[in-house]
Amino acid sequence: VTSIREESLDLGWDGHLLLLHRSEDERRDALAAWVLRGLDLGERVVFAERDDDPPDRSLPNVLRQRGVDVATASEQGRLHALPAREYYPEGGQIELLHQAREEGFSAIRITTETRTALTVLSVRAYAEAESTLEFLCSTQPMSALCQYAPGETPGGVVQNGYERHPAVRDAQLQSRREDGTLLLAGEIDQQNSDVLEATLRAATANTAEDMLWIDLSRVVFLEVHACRALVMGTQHFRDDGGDVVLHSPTGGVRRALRLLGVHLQPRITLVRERP
Amino acid sequence: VTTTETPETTHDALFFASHDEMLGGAAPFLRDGLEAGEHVVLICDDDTGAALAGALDHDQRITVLPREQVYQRAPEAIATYREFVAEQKDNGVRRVRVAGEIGFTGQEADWTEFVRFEAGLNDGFEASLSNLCMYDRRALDRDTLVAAAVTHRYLRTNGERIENSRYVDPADVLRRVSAPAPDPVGAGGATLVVDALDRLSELRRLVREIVGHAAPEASPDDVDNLVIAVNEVAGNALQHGTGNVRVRLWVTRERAVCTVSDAGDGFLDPFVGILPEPPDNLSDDGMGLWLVRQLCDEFTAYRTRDGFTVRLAIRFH
Repeated sequence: VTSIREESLDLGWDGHLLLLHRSEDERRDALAAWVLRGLDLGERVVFAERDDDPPDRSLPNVLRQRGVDVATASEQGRLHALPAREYYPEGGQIELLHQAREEGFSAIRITTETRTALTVLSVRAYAEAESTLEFLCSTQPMSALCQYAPGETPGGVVQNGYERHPAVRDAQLQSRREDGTLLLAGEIDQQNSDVLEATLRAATANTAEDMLWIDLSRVVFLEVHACRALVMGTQHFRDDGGDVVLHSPTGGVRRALRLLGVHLQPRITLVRERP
Repeated sequence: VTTTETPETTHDALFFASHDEMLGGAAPFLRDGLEAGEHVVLICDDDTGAALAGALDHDQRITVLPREQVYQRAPEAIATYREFVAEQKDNGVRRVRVAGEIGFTGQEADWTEFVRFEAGLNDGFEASLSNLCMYDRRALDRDTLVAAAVTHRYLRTNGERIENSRYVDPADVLRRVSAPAPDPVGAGGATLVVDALDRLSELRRLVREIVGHAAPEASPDDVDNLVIAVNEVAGNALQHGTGNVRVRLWVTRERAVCTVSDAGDGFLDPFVGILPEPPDNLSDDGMGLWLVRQLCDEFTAYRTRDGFTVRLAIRFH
């Protein structure tokens, strides 16, 4: 029962994904899950790492520790390492897909860390690359896991990351946005409420919609800091006339929202279900 | 010393041991209110309520509120009073007069709750409430009567209002009750012991797991409330406390008790979390503890030799 529940609460590993990791363990767990999904689907997994990284940090090592036959996967081209420069080819990352298709793969997923990307790209070029990748992941058989360490990455780069990725994950919270709807899943507390707030700001920053639906059906926990993030993260949007509808909260989540009066804030509505 | 009515919030006590004593103290108080154009609220048991309504000729400005629903937990009771006062103000009534017959069972936990309620009533209101707490000497235990005797500035008897020489500042009362006797559940070994809290999510997972085993019949609402409350208090300690945060949890089929300790001084304001906060005040640090108090049956905070401890408890339904 637990596994079914966990599975239905998970928003998945596909698309243009922003991974926010606060520890090396968190990074490795998420990275491994994302790669395994690709290998299961028969996709090519492309990755780039820094030359000066210690060996235990590298993806092959992370996968070996989880029982993956790395040698065979590499031999078959399913696991494909590239130097950072070649990860960002001059003709754009669409070339990585063309290459994989020539070798018989129908889809690819690509991953690197921001700290790796910034060894070969300027901050501006990196922002452009993220925009291009956002477009590719929504139009091509391609997905990308962009690994950000929020504490060690310039604020502007992180903020751009939130805006360019429709899907955001940290160890506790997942989100996915599409036209006027933000899907949240997991747990929000004082240790990650900043992620929710930034996600909301990004979701409402450059939108043509005048209403944001926030689906809370997969949120299993939230508290005061999370409520504050819901209010603050949508403040601009609401001040400009936007409406926020929180819908489908579970019992404890609904009680916390009501006791803390989130639904009494201007232009925030709480409904049991999305009509 | 007899004093005249003042426009500020009043919070008086009436001790009685007979029907006549009750009527003699409460009826003039309420009649004065009606004559001054105020509304009257009765939160009494059925007999007392009927007797008072009769003595006031069943004036239509009398509202009767169900006693069991109002006097559940201190913050909720205070919030009910506040909401009623605000509602009446909207209707153009400038002042509300409440006669409440206090009925607590006298268990330690209920008693501290009760003292908080009484102390909170002294400070929690704008000048629009005249409150009379009625105590039946025959029905209440000694601790409750003693607590009542120190939390009311004035006493009512036979139409007179007398200054109470035993009155103690509410903040002092709250500090005085904040070193609780050992909890019976706490006497045994704790079900969960965390000596250096790190991830709140891990703590929440453990709490759910332990309750699932030890109290499988606890309602999902109660479990959610416990998880939210423990998370809030532990998160508070992580954010504002000093040194390692220690968590202990005891769970039986009926009830869960949790303590959270750190080496710091804790919060000094004994009113933290007791008074209702306006809903637009999400940024206030007290909001989290206010939420905790809505969800728990017991909540105490006290200094120890090693620092500061918050203890909370929830009864399972």
